Amino acid sequence: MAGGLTEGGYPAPTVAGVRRFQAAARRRPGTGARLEAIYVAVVVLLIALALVYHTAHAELVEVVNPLDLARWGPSLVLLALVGAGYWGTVQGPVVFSVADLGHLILGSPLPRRTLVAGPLVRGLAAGGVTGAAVGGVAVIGLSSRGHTIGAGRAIDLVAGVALVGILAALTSFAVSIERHSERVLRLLTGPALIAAAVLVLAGALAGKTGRDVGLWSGPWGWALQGAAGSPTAWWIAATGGLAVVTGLAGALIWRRRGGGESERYLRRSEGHARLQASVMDLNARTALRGLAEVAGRPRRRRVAHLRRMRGRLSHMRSRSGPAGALPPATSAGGAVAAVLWRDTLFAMQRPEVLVQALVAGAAGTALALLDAGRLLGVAAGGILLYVAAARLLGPLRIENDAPGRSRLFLGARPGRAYVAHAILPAAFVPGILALTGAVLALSGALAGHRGAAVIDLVLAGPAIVGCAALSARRGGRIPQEMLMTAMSSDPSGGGAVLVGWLLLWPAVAAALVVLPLGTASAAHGTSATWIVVDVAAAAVLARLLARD
Amino acid sequence: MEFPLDARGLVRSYGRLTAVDGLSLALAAGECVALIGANGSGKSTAVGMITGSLTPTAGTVRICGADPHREPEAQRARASVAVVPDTPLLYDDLSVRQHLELVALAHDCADDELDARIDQMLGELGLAARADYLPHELSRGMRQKTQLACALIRPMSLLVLDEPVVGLDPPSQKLLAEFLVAAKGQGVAVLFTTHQLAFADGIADRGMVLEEGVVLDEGPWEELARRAADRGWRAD
Repeated sequence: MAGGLTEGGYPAPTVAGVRRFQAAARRRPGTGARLEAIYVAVVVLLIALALVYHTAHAELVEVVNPLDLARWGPSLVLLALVGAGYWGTVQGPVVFSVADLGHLILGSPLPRRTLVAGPLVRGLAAGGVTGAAVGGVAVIGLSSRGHTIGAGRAIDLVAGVALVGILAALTSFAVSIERHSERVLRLLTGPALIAAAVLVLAGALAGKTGRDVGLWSGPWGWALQGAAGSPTAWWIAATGGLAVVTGLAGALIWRRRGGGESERYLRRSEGHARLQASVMDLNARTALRGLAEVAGRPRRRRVAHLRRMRGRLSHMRSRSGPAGALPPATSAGGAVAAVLWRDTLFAMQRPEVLVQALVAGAAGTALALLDAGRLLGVAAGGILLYVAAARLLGPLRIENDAPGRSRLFLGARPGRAYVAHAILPAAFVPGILALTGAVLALSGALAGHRGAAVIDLVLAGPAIVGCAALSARRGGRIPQEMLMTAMSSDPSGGGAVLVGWLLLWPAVAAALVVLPLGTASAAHGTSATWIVVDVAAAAVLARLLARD
Repeated sequence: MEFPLDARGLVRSYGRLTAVDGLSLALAAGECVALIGANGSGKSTAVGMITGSLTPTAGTVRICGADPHREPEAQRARASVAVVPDTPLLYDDLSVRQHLELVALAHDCADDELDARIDQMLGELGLAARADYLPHELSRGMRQKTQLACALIRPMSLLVLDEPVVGLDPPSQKLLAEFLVAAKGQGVAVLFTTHQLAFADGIADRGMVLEEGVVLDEGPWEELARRAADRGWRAD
């Protein structure tokens, strides 16, 4: 056999040598193919740059000005830094391939510090370039339609946001390699969100002093001082401070780049492979699920509650039979009971999903009722209600990913299982609607005729859930045939068809809110027609959902 | 005396689940231990902790005296241990031969005789005709053999194989057994997991039975295999 024993010491191979070998061994495309790729990249880049420039020049002036930058900017940059940290919990700037993990990171004596160095430098550079690009777009917005920004302040903004980009990449990397950093991030997320809200309020309510507090509150404000109109000495000091902080953070993390648990690298590599496969398959659902698995935090289990609930369901189903066990899954009622049990289990294991649905549903109801005079406000309310319903349909998505399961475990047709999965959300969403409407009515926020609008909204609830369920049934994946047809026949190159496909069910849900509310506002009362329409829509959508 | 493997009190928990609870294991040079157990008994978790891919909740691992979980000391451990995972981890764009060359480079053993050693290894494993194939052009069993060749082409003191016979046909299993016996003969300590007791016959010196993460039984292989058979473990 060829393998020998290790000598007393350990070998000292070089990372550069291995990387050179990999580069030489890889089958590179020919000159023609490379030139074609460069041509396509240059053309796409030029088109994108022109599009971004014109959009920024024409539209950003409405939202990017020194005052709004000082008011909103620090909070947004703070949230971006927190977001970058969370990117580190699932991926981060340094992710190796699974094969690299097996053969180099875990399978060779090559120093990890050196293996990590190259990807980390590239990740930091990407953070800096992204930051500079965002800063550049903001400069275009600040200097359009007759407004001007001095060269010094423009350079300061671009450089400052580039430094924030590097800081974000460093945060992301620190979180990705160290469990301790991840814990700190999770611990600081709540305070950071509160701080962001306080900074916005201070900027809005406390005038210039409040805005100055935001701009000096931390690195998230320092980058914006020049563009927000602070005195020259201030912005120079702030950007200098930001450079020092970024440099210190960089030095600290650079020294620790070889540390961290191998397991964290392994999880990210496997997650990256799943993410790549999902992107190639245009499957957003598996992509998100793959990332969630990387973050993988243990779920709480409440076994005692579940046993009691199972017993109750079982008892309801077969009062004459023995309690404590689910009825035979071959009966339709048994399948529905099992699905209800499974959905309740899902809700209990993920209370955050219920909270998200509650917040989205309440916000949507409030927006639709309080902003009833504006079509856009009502439509936005409808979309939020759709989002609330969609959050509750997680088990349907899981069911849909492997339809054979419903046959195997429930002995039921997939269509029947899908309808059963919509039962709890169809009760929950109208419940949120009714509760929010009642709170608004009791607080006196609703004018007389909007009481009828509440009834219309509650009646539209099940149909909105139906829209979300039908969207969930599509599997989060654009059908290949539709993609091919769209690309060949759509004048926009497939974009219009794809956007239409993505927006179909949210748009129907929004229409279900906009149309009856418009009638209720105009007629000052509930329209019997809309009651019929809501009931009929719910029935039609349920029928569509029940197809196998 | 410095053991190729010295693991003490290894514990690994996932939330409330303890996958491995208090595993201790030492391997001397040239010794072979088979870790057996049912699905979910904690074999792969134990291997992960030993090879450095999973961080133990408690306990210590030393491979030739070095901790595989602490950089830069882990470099020394990785130089000494060769791992064959249960799923082949191969580069999509490197051929079988290039994989072996890469491993040799990474372990600083790419000497003048490397080509001859690779040819011999590929010939013995029945991969000679596929030397220039990419992984996606190979069957699962051949990818597994490529992974095995990657482990065997480099110097090592400890060879760890996780479910090595999965995906291998009977002749390949026999060949693998011969390789492992030869490795032992050269002083390499071997640790492998399996739930096929027959494969371990003639290779393993000692055995260890894991159940629910706890060591249920251990001892010289022949005695352990007899006791395992009495418990109805042996199907062959």
